Amino acid sequence: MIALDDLTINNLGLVNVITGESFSKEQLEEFKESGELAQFAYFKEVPVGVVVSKPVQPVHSKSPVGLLIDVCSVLPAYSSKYDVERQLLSHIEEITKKRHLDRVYVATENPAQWEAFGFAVEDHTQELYRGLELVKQGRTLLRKDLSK
Amino acid sequence: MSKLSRSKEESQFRDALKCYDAKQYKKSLKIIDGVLKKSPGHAPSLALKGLALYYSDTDKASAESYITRALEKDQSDNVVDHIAGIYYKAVKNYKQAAKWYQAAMDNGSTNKNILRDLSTMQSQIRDYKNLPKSRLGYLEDQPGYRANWTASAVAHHLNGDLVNAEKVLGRIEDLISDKLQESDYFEHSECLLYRNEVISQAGNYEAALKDLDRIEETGMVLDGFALLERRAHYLMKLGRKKEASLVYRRLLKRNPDNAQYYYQLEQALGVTGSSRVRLALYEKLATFYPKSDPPKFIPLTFLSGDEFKQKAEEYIVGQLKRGVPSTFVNVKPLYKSKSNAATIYSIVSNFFNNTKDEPLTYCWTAYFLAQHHYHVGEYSAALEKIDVAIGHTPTLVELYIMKARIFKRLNELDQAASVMNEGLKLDLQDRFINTKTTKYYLRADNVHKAIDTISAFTKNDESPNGLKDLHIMQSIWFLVESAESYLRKYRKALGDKNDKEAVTNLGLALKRYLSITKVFDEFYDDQLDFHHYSMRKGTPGAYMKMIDWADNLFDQPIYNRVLDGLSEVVSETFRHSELLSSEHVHRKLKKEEIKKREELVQYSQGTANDDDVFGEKALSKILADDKLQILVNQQVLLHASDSVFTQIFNFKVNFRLKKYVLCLQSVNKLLAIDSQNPHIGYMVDQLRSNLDESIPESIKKIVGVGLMKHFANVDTAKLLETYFSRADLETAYVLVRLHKSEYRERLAEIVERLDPYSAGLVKIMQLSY
Repeated sequence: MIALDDLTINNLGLVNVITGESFSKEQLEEFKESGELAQFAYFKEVPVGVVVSKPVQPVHSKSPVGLLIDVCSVLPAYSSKYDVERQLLSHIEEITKKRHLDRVYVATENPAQWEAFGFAVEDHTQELYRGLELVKQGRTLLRKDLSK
Repeated sequence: MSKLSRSKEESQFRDALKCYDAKQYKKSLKIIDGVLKKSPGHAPSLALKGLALYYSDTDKASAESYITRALEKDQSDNVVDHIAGIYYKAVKNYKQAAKWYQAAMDNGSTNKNILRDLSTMQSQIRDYKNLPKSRLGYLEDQPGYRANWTASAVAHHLNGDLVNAEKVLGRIEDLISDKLQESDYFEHSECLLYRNEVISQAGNYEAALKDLDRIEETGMVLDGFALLERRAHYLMKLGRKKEASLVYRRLLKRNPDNAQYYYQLEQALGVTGSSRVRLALYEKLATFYPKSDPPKFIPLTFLSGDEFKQKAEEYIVGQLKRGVPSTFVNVKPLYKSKSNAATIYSIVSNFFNNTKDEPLTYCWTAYFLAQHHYHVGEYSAALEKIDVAIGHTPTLVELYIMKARIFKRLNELDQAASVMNEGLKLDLQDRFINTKTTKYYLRADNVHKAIDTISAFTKNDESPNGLKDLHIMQSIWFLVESAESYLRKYRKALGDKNDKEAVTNLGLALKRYLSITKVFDEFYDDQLDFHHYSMRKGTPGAYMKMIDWADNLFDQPIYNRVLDGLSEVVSETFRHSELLSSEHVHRKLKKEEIKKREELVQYSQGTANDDDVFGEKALSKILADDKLQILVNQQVLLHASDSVFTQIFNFKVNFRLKKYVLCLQSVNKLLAIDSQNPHIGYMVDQLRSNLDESIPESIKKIVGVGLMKHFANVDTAKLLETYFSRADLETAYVLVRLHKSEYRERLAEIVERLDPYSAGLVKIMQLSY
């Protein structure tokens, strides 16, 4: 019932409609360029959700420590009902593993929802994340360890 | 002239001809010039010079003068005639081409290939009387090809001689049937079916059926559907309904989605009168073909009351549950009955209130309800429902299309286009929504935005946008919509007293309309290759269909729309001829105006190297042409002499040409076709009160007497009651055109009752009156 697919140049307009935000043309272009890191979720072929993630790259490190889910949004009528969020998360988790990483982060206004998926609140002020600006105002950083 | 020099001349001419055949036009011209220097009256050389000039692109304009000179000198020379034929074919003057090809043959040419070209010309100009002769001549020369036999039979058929057509087809069939190779099978199959069609057209269905048995037995007919459909048709004609019904059942087995077969089966079974039997029949058929739509849908068209309700519920709710987006479109034909509409609404709204679990079902049901409200004219309720659907699932393009449509009907045209554009952003590669958005921008008279939108799907190359490509690709809908948009913009500009803008838009409307007429001319011209090709391919049946298509090409609704617009442009040009005064057109432009105009050119130039982008010259040409050639040329293309539109168009043209007796004929014909048509009122009014003063009294008298016959007692009140009573857009337009105080009140009433969009169109039209 749920299928995931890449963003394309022709359907970037869906991102703002699903998230209710207004990402600029450049930002949308960047999402698309990130390939498998950004995905739409389709419910019976109708686009209902989107996830966008990016690597968390500490300033003084050569390799990333994990992936950060930057955007994860599902239309209210389809949210928390058809497993859309879980599928989007599983996709990001798989990529994380594929890249030999074991941490998935999320910066969210709704920590409870993510705790249900096994995330725990993470202190974003620690040295590792300095200068990365992972968390916008009003959001909390959470982390999930895949190795556990 | 000495014998020696004449033979030298001939040999030089042959050399020139060889060069021409090898497409060495310049070289050919050089040799001919040598001949003409010595003997300026050598007719074949003059003719060849004309042809070579035409093809060498050096001096196309003077080509024809050489051809005519050659013909004047010696039109009994078959070489001259042949060259003239080739020349006129090249310039698409097929009538002349046929004439000279024929002359070449009559003057003793032994070149039988001319007959082939001649028959192509005759087919193109529909000279069926002479066609069989030339086809036969070519057949006698080349009897070894089936194509020539087929061509000969088709010629007889077109000439109405079915007996000989059948004879020719029969002869070649006998000659060839034991020599067929696999590569001939398709042609053979087509020709067998064609022969059968010829027999049936003669009205002898018994013979046709017998022939069908025969060809079916040969096993050579590849089109199984055609065999069955014909068999059923003949059996019905012969009154052998029971047998026909069995054939229809076989057809249904092959394709249970063809609704036509179901209706035909009903007729064969003779059950059309009883809804009880019909229902039983369809219930049975539905069990045979559970995946097919017709056996479920057709009963809804004849049931009523509780039975209708029950069946409609099964049908509609079943589709909504599956989330079929087109559910409303499927049941829309049922809305002809008001009680059906009410029942359907109660079924669906009831279902809607009890469905929340399945999100897509909920969404498509809201979409259905929006369409329902739209269809019955409840626009705000429609808007409310479509907003529910969009709020629920804002990622479905269809919902935006519907919302835009509602806004359009509310005459919120900018808003409509912008909603459509929102939908477009969801899926930029969806050509349908791109087209829709373009059209909505055009309806909102935002031509530039429309062109920008559709340019995503055109080949733009060096051009700033796709406008030229749309012309090349013959995008008729775009051209029509933009022409109509320019016409509206013209009227709006008149309303704003902006004469410059008005004349630009009127000119652009004219340019677009003329482009469409060119596209249709090309369509018609495209037949040319097929008079030969179809015979060679062995597809006479398809060829006859093409001939039919071409004969009715200019009578299609879309072309009616074009001619309506074109005649409107012409009439506006005369009514507002002051717009074309030098003051407006030739005024020197200021610097910023020049810049603006350059930008405008980018969005207006339909063809490369057009020296009249804004149609100013074309408009002036209309004013200068007192024979009204622009419309008269179109008049001859209308073949549907008994259609409503033909009468209206002919009246308009003839009235302007002051041919009032012909106008009278149009009124009477229209009266016979559609006795309450609002245009009758218009015509009567014009003939009574708007005749030109300069015409002879005798004509006035004829018109007066002619009107007495049907309209003796028709006064203003009667006109209002009989012809201007319909509250529709057409009547409103007619009343605007009449522009008389006695009809003002009725016009206001109609506008009041029209939907906001149509009312808006009427108001725009009024701006130029």
